[in-house]
Amino acid sequence: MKPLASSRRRFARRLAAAALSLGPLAPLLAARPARAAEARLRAFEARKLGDALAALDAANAPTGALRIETLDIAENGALVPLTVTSEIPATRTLQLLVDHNPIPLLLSLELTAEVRPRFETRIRMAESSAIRVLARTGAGACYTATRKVGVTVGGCGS
Amino acid sequence: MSENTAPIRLRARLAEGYGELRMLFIHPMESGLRKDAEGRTIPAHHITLMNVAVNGRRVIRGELGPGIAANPLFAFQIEGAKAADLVEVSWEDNLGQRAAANTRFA
Repeated sequence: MKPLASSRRRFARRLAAAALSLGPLAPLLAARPARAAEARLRAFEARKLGDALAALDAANAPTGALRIETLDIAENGALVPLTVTSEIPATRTLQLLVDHNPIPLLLSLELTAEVRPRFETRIRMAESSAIRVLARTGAGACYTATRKVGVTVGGCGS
Repeated sequence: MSENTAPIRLRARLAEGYGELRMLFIHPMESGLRKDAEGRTIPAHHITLMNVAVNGRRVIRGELGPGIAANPLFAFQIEGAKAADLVEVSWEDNLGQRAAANTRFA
């Protein structure tokens, strides 16, 4: 065990020395591990709302001060405009789901303090469904809200 | 898709106490769940990640699924934005394609 660990340390030292010797190229190399950390949320793989909420650790989130402004009836499910606003102080994460879509999770946003916890976008809805928002504070508290939208013609294959 | 293939269009306007950023990404957002006329699955091709930086610091990181409509549009409000603040926006998709654009608040 020990020889392996020490050889790893040696390797790490050599790698660091090599990076230093590369001079101006070193920042490019250093950026690589940061890219690897941009892992996608596993909740995007969920095909059922319950699985998505479980993956987001939000299955029991209480209702919070979140506003979802959109149409009551969407003629065209391929293009449903909406605006989401959080009144919850220190909101840092906003996540958007459509309960009955084949891939329920649509969007996950991480915002710094200078970005108002509010966004507009346009979504696809496969059929009439609740739109669901999750908001998480910097301290990790999670809240939710839903709004029902009727869809006349589903957004194909959303 | 339209003839115009500019992958990102940006508008960054100052309002009272904040800046409004509107972004349009030209992208099909193909879900991978649709089938063509012959019944073959159309492969997934959609944006997975977007980033927004103001004056070199990332302020928004977004992960997208294919439930965002084709040609994704987003609007955000940035507290305390000032004239000439630099806004840099980028996206990448599930096929590894990337686009970036920048503008300044005015």
